[in-house]
Amino acid sequence: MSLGFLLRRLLLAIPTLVGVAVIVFVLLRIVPGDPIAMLIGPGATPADIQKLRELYGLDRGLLDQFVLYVGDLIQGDFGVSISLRQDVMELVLGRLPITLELCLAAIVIAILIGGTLAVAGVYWRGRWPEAGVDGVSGFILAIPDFLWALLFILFVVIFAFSGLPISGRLSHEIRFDALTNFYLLESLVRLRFDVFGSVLLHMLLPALSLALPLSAIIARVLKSSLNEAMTQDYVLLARVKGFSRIRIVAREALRNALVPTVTLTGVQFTFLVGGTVLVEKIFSYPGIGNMAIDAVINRDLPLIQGLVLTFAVLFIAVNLLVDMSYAVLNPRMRHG
Amino acid sequence: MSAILDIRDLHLDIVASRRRNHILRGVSLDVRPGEVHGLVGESGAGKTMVGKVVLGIAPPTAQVTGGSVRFDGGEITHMPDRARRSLMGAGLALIPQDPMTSLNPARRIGDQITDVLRLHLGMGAGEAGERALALLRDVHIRNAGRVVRQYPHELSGGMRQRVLIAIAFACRPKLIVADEPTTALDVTVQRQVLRLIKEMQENAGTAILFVTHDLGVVAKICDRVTVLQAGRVLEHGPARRVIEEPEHPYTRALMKATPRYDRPGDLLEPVPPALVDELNAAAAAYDRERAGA
Amino acid sequence: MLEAEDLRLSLPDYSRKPLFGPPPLVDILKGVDVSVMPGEALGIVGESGSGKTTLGRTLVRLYKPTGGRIRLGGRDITDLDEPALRPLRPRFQMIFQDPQSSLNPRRTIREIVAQPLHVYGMITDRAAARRRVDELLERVSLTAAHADRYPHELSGGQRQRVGIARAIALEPTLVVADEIVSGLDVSSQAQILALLRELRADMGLALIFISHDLSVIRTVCDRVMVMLDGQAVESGSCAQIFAEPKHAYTRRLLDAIPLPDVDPDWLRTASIVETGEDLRMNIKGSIALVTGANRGIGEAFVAELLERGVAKIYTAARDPSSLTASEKVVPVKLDVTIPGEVEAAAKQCGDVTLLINNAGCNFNAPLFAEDAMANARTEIEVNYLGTLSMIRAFAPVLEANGGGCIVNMLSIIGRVNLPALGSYSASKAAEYSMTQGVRAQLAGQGTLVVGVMPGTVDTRMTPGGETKPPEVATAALDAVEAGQEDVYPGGMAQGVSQGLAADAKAVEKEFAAYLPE
Repeated sequence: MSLGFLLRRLLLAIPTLVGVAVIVFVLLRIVPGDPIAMLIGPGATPADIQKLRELYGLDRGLLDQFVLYVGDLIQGDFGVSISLRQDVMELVLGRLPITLELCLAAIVIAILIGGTLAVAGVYWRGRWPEAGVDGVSGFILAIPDFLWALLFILFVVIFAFSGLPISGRLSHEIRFDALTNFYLLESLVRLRFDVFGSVLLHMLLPALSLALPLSAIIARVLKSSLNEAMTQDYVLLARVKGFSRIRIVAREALRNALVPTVTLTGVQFTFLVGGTVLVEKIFSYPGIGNMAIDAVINRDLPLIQGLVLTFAVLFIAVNLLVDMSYAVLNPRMRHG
Repeated sequence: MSAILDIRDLHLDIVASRRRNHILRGVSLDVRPGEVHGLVGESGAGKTMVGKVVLGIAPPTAQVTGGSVRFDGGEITHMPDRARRSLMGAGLALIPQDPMTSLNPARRIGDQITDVLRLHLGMGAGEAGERALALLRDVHIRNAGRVVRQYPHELSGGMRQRVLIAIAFACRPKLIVADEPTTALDVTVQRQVLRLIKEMQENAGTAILFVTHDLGVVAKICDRVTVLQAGRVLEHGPARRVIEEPEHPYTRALMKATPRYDRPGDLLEPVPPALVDELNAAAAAYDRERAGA
Repeated sequence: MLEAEDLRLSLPDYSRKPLFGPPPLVDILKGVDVSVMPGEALGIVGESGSGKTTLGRTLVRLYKPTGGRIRLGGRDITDLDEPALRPLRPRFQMIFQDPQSSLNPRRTIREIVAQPLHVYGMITDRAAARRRVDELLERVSLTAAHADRYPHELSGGQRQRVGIARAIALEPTLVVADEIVSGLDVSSQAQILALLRELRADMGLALIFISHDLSVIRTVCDRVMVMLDGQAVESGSCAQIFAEPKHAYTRRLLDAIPLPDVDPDWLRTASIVETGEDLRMNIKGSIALVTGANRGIGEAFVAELLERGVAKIYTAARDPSSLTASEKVVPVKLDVTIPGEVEAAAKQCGDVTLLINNAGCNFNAPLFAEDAMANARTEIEVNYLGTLSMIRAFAPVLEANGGGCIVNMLSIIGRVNLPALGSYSASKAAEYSMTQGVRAQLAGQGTLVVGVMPGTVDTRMTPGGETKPPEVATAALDAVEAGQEDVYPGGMAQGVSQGLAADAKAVEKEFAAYLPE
């Protein structure tokens, strides 16, 4: 992995971000609906509305608005949220860690479930467990993440599982003066295992909802690339060396089968981040997905812009990570 | 001397989508300790399948329908998986055909040698590492210390085949199946690798079942030869006898069809199609007879 | 018929592309001349990476050469673009190595063979096309029954016949066949080769037959050209080249072919170690020691090493006062004939990975000169014993540093006897033998030993010599980086080395006449 490669990728990210900024700006100006009307409600006078329009710069021409907007962006100023009256940057950065932790947990769960399913399917190739794996992954895949979320809630309510929380992030009985919004990490570092447990428990169902469809995709792709790797000559040689099947799957085939899986997981991760919008809302999870829904309902233009840009940066970062992982997985790509 | 590998009347079919193809039709051959035994034939003769049966890596569609394969005195045809695995390494090993694809691209050369040593000889990491270095020096790889840390794609084809030979000889097996080990190499490299296989084989006293289509290679490295066509043994005997005075018309025809740079091209005679038809008819007659019996 | 001169092709190497700017070029063809007469069969032989396949494709203008000219029947086709080439294409056809991938799997054999006929408008009505295809299939010993099958239903030999039928459909005058029998069994290979011989005789076809196998080439070709590393090292009639190959590489190639004769010596005399490639060394960042660094070639070595980014150089000379120290240059007092000084140098320079044994002397004086005895002694003392003692002292140093490279400055005179310069010739001949011995012994520890054999070099000892010192240093360091074992810098050295390979006696005779002034 050369520094040059990284640099080139980072430079390429700039036009992408500019493009996203332009599209977001244009899209939000052409959709109907007056954000100011949403803001102050039915009793306001036209003068009040006019004052607010001036405050947010909505009274000027589109081009002026755009110049203003880009100028602010470059200075790192995303503006002030119309509905929450706070700095957008602060709002988004404050909530981002919550969603990041949730997504990470979902990825870990997806990899564990998907990986296990794939390896089991390959290990018992041609026998009934393989058919079982295919059936299970097909079923999981057929149900989207938000439906899983609703199903889980239904399940908890019907069977009255009081132990499994279905809303919020941390139990109200626990007092935790957090320094950051990375509760999971921070509680671990500060050895507050009660907090850690509670955060984990609250995270379980939303993370699982997000993880399940992804795990099925991982299972399918990993299984087919594992099966392909198992037909390679070096696998044949490993059999002649006298290694057991499970060891051959794990030591010879797995690493070579990972590249397509990682590529796909990277692409799917971006869908997963998108999925947080609905899933967080369903579980009242206070991340940026939840915030995005509120922002849209309130026609909070600056906040929507800030959130969409944040999502874009996230996607670019994930893709960069995926590309970098190739070099680790595939020794042939290390020079170049 | 009793044979290290004794194949008697081996029959094998490939069963795919309810069709049954006869691949081996009563193959018998024996490999004696310390000899290089050539198994020669054209594609479709079944020579590679014989090697696969011996190593226990025949595809799931292959069914042994008769005969026996005895290795070192014990029957290995229908051996359970676990017992079969314990035979590998120190008993049986393989030098594969294609050095470009037979090493795992994601693992270091050193690890691919030490893993057999640790599995079969119970060596620790340190001891196995030392032994891997010594093995690479045995196969005349210069800079063994650097090569153990490299990945396959960093080595030339000839170097990779040397590594694969080192792996095959790592646990001093009694029998190595060499499956067309030089077919994928350039001629100049082929000669070096053949010499290396011979040297390693003589030093370790290993027997080799050398599967090849190339009568030239047979003439240079084999002690005895078995000629296979359509899954049947046409003739066998000491290499010198089979090469210099072939008994079977098919062997004679193959010799005449092999181009030689030391003879003008008009001396080249293709294998007469009538001969091939005759042999295929004989194979079909054999199948009918066996089905009737 | 077809003539190509000084054909060159360079392709960009994307695996070494820098951050910005174009990727570096790799030379695939480095100036190849080819000529084929009408009806003649030319074999092109080489190992993988020799450029033979690229050459074949360049000749039929599938690739555009970056240099040189190609003429087809007197017409220059080097720079023609595809539309201009199209009307010419029926005249030169290509058959590819892998019939499996060059035949469209979704078309029947009939469609495949008929396709060029339709494309070039040779045949318009269906019945005529049918007849022509049947005719062509029969020509390559396939039957009409094969015509309606698909490529995957045929054997390898049959598919290759289809490839041939398609290539001759337009009645070309030249066919380029690239490794067309290499994947086939002996029996189908022999049939295809026999078919090619027939077609040549019947159609007066000119053939360029590319193969890695000299035995196969012998069966169909009149002439053969041997390729190595993008260049033709030898070419001539088959009869001549197979009987007495001139170039060492051709001999090596022939010796490597296992003829079906029982011959126990064939294996015993094979080289057991792989050739030098693996011992390549990067000069950038290495630490070098150059003996005789205060004069001619030594100075050139120091300059060239610095140019190539060496980390440190120990410059050794009997009188170090004439050497200038700098950040990277460390002068060392060293007379290679004094054992104590050699040992001390080995201790002082324990980090050396590249040893350049450049110190040497040549008095170039008549045998009856006043100091002849002392001169002879000094020549043997410095050239042979000095170099040997340096290698004995430094081999353990290189081994401790994980291997490296030793460059011995020899002379082409070591390969031929110069009667008038007996002691110098002898000292260089002994040094040459020693270089080979040391090479074999040190290969195992990962050390490359390069022998540099220039002709006369323009230094104080032989002023006005043909080769300039920087050329010698450049050639030697190129060899270090390429893992090449023997180098002959300059036209004279090259000529002599080729002459020696061709006719050693004649070269000796020529040199016998030399007398020093």
